[in-house]
Formats: sequence, structure tokens, C-alpha cells
Amino acid sequence: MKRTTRKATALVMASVMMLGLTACGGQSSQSSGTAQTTAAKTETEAAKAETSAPAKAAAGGEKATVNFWHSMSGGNGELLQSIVDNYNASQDKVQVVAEYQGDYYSAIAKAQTAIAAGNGPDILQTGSGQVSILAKEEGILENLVPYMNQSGMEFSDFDPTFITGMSMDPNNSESLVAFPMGCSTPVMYCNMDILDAAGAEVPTSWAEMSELTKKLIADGVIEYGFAIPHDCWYFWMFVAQNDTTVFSDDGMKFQCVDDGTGIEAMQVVQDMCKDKVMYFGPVQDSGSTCRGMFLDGKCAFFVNSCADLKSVESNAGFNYSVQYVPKLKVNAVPSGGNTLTMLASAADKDAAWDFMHWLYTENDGVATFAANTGYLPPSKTIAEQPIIKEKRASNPNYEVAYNQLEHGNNSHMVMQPNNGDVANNITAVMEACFYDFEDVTERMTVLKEEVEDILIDLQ
Amino acid sequence: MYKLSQNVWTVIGTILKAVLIFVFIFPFLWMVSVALQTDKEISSSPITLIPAVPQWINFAAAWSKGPFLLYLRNSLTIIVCVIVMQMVIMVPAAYAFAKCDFKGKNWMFGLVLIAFMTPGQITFLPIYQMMSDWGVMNTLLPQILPFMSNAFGIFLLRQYFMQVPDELIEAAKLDNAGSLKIVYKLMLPMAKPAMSTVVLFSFVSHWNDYFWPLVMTQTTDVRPLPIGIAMLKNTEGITNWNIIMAGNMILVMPILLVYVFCSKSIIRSFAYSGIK
Repeated sequence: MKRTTRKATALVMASVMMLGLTACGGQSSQSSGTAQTTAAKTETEAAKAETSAPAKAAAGGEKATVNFWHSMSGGNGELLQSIVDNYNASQDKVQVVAEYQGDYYSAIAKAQTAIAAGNGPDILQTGSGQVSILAKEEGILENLVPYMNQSGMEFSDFDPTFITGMSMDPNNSESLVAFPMGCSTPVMYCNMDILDAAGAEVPTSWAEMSELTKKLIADGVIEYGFAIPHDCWYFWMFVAQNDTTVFSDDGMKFQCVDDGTGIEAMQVVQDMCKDKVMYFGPVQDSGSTCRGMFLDGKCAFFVNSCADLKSVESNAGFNYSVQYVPKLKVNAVPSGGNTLTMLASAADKDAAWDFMHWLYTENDGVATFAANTGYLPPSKTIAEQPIIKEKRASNPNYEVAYNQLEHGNNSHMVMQPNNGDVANNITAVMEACFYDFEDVTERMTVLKEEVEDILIDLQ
Repeated sequence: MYKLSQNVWTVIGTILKAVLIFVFIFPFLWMVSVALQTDKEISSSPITLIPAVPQWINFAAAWSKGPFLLYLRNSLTIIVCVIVMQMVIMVPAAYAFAKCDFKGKNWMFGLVLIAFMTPGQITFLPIYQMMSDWGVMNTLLPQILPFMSNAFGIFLLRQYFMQVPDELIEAAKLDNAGSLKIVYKLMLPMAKPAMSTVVLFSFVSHWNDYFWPLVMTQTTDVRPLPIGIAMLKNTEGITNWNIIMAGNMILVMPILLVYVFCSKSIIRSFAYSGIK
């Protein structure tokens, strides 16, 4: 009996293993999804061999396959998939296969590995801060300008805030390696119930913010004035608001320390933290924590990406409005989000371009993505799409976020120094100055040395 | 007086144990609690510990957010293949290193130790390249083949086999037992605690692995559960923690089942390996 059981166990294990290996070798017979992938792979290989245009593929009766790697998960992932499905259904020449590849950081690491192995995607969505990682290596990303010229797309059609940093050379309009896709800027979410009860106006400067919220804190209405997430983004914002630039024109110097403007801006922010006017979010899950404080009425204002609009909208149990971020000396907001790049190794570049062109010119493309997420339209063409017009007309908060683009300022991205090392050093200084109230001048001076070393290494 | 002092220490010990148990069990209980909460309860202040009405629907919501049956099948296939292949390769290798004399034995064992100490983050690039060259990307093989051998397992089993007296092996040889018979009929049954340790570690680490499958897979068809769970998280905006935690419950359930049915063996094997 025991022997029979053993034999049976061995047989089951062997069968499972064989099943597994069969599954490993090719699952096409078991799942239609896999069959599609296998077919897609075959098509990709065929496309690689011929480097055919979509028209050619169509003539041959086969769809050209475009592999699109993205970083959208959850609801945004579902939305992006529906957009891709709409594109696939809209024509019969190109089949886009969209696959999630982890967050921006995982996706870029994976893309680097895959590109080295000759396995990269045709189109890659990546964070705007990560574009430079691929762009600095020659021959990785495709220059999109020739395709734009061919299709009649204008460089100037893109909003200058979003396009800054998408070209390796800011003085060369003949080079563009990425299109801005999910574009956002910080906005200020205001609890209007608190403001109305206090008979106060929305503050338009940090000085007004301090004056108002100190009073509200003293009256026990709120615990903090405004909450802002732990993000390097706000360093760029506060420095730019001091009517200055973080880096020198050649991108090699941390200029805002040399001329003292960066130190001055950071000092103002530190003072706000000391007075509890500003709550600087925790390192982990910072956006959620700050949003939670705002939604719980612990602070009257919340500064965060306009992409958060939908979340605040559906969870605020009070009257709220979106307003311009207050100014220091001038209004200035950086931009962020994600971008689309076409890889130079793309099997069928014309097919890849066909999809990208559709995304940036059709109502069902990036316009739909922006309208359903709270991202801003990255170009005039997209802003003119019916779905965006309707969104702006029906949602005054979105309209404010859109109008604030007049103060868009991405000067820190001019020479693409927004790489991870620089950002990490800056956030470390923000933590020291805003959590531990360390000496701003001292920390910024050390930061300057660290950042300039990194900038030299980047060249 | 002595008895009183002993009682005091017993009470302190019990309290410390209770605190330790709470520290370790709280994250799990919190996961269960959040998995059963509504959106509103998650963001409420003060935090909700016990949901007013358990939201079992969160599990269905998590399950319907992706092809979780496919993810589950992939995870099971990977785990079974990895463990079976490790058994086939690891046990004879450990026996050879422990009981056989051959040229270059120490040198080869040194290589095993190097493999043991090298993190996957260093080897993933050449392995990716190799798998790509073999044309097996977009299959389950890149998640199985690199783990066919287990350096930690070879090391642990070798140490165990070395403790087995040579006389036992000699006696088996006198009874005409071949090497394979000695390995699988004599050594392996004696090495059950060590084997369970290796199998359990292998099971838990591969079941929960996120980094390797993320790098080695490009399509949903070949992805395991942890990636499916990660995809539940919203890129922007409010994170639906209740759905994510429900997904996590689905992920950890097999590990819990293994623990429930094999708790004695697990405790024995962990005690054996000195890992607590």
C-alpha cells in the first residue's frame, strides 16, 4: 500500500513537472491570450526581418505588432488599456500590445536590461525624470522630429513647460526624444468650508498663507496650515518661485546656492515648517498621508499634483476648490509625470509612430487619458479635443489647473540634471531642514558640492 | 522567596512573549482587517480596527481586477518545477560534496559558496541575456531554470550528510545499494529536517518573489501572483488598500495553509537550521 502511494506520488510529481515544462515551453494551446502573444511574437520577428511599414503589413494581410511597455497600474492601467484597445479597433494595420512593467523606476531598469539584450519594447512609457537615463546614451531613443515633420506635427504645439527636458539639447529644435504624456503640475487644494467660516480669502503668497494659517492654528481650527508631500519636485518649485534658476545655463553649477537665492527660498520654507504652517509629508506613502490630513480637516490646504484631482473630488466631505499654488516672489510650478519614447531598436518604427501620432491627435488618445485622470493636456492639439474642452467647461478645478500652466517653469530640466542621484541628495537636505530644522545654509552648501560632483560625472 | 522570584520572572517572560507575538502578528491582523474594510473606513481617523460590516466583496473585486487564475497557475507551476528540480539536482550534489572524493571537489564547493553569497541583483543581467539568447523570454523558463540548483540547499544538506557515519554507507554498499539508492533511500530520509528547511525557504522565497519575475517577464501570460498584486495599486491618486490587502490575502493563503498543515515540521526545521 505504502509502495503504491509512493509510486502514485512520484507519478503525480512527474506529471506536474511535465505539465509545468509543457507550460514553460509553449502555452499557446492552453490560453487564447498566450496564443495571441505567441502570434504577436512571430509577427514581431517577421516585422524585424522586413522593417516594414504598417501599410506593407496591411498589404500582406498581417498586422504589424508594436510592443508598448508602460507603468500604469490600477485604474490608470485599465484606462490606458482601453485606449490601446480603441486604437487597435480603429484600424487594421497595427496591433499594439500594451504590457505593464512595474513603476517608473522598475520599468526603466528593466528596459535598460532588455535593450542590452536586444529585447526592448518599441514604445516605452517612462517618468519624465527618467528620460535622461536612456537619452544620454546615443542610439537608444529615436529622434521623433523627422516623424513629426512627416506628419505635420509642430514642435511648438507642445506646452513649453512639458517639453522642456524632452530634448537632449534645449537649443536644438531638431531633436526630441520623448513626448510628454501624463502631465501634471502642483496645485493647491483648499478647504473652502474652513476659509468661509474664518471669513478669509484664498492666500496667493506664502506670506499670506503663514498669516492666515497661524491664526487658524491658534484658534484650534487646524493642526497645520498646508500639507505637502515628501518630493524633490517642491524643491524645484520653491527655488523657481524665488525668481531664480537652480542650475547655471550650462547645467554644471548649482547656481542657486552661489547667489544665495536657493538658500533664501529654503529658509522661508523651513520657517513655515517650524511654525507648523507647512507639514512636510513622511518619506513613505507621503501623498496618501498628506491627502488624508487634508481630507480629515487637519490642515486647510494641500499642495500636490493635479493628477490627484479625481481622488480629492471623490473623497472630500466638504466644499473644496483647486487654486494656484501661492507664490514666494513669483508664481512658478514645475511639471512632472510621464513620457512616451520610441526606441531606436523598434522593429517597425512606422507602425510605432502610427500609434504615437494617433495618441497625440485623436480625441480617444492622450486627450481621453488626461480627461479621465486629471493630467493636463500636453499640447494645443490635445487641449482642443472635445473631451478636454468638455472637461474644462464642466470642471472649474481642472480649468484652474490648466490655466496655472501660464506659470509653468521647468528650468531645472533644461540640461536634464533631474536624475535620481541629484534628487536623492536634494530630498535628503529637505528632510534635514524640514524635519530636523538643521542649518539651511550649511546643508545647502554641502548639497552644492555633492550635486556638482554628480553633474560632472553625468557629462 | 525563591518561588516568588521565579513567579515574577515567569510573568515577565509571559508578558514579553505576548508583546513579541503581538508585534509579529499585528501586521498580519492589520492586513486582514484592511482587506475587509470599506473605502471610507480605510481613510477614517482614528483608524478602524474592526470593520463594521466585513467587506468580503473586496476579495472578489481583487480577483476580478486581473487574470488571477492565470497568475495562480503560473505561480504553482513555477514553484512545483523549481522545488522538484532542486530536489533532483541538489540532493546528489550535496551527497557528492559530503561523501565522495573527486578531483576539484573543494574548488567546486567554493563555487557553490560563491553562488550562495551572490545576490540575484548581480546575476540577473547576464542571466537575462542568456535567456534572451536562448529565445525563452515570454515563457516560464526564465523563472525556473536559474533556480534549478540551490546553493543554500546544497550547503545545508552537505553539512547534514557529513554527520552521517561512513559505516552506514559502507553497510548499504555491502547490500549492493548503488549511489542513487544510497542518496534517495538512505541519506534523504535521514535528512528530512534539513530538506524541509530548504523546501520551505525555497517555497516562500519563490512564491513571494517580485523582482525576478518582473525583470524576466514581459507579458501577463507568464506572470506570477506577486506581480498581479502589484498591479492592483493605482499609479496615481488614492491607493485602494482594501483591494490590495485582499489580493495579499490571496497571495499569502497558500503559505498559511502550508504552515497550518506542517507547523510542527516547520518549527523543527527552523530550529534545526538555527534560523528563528
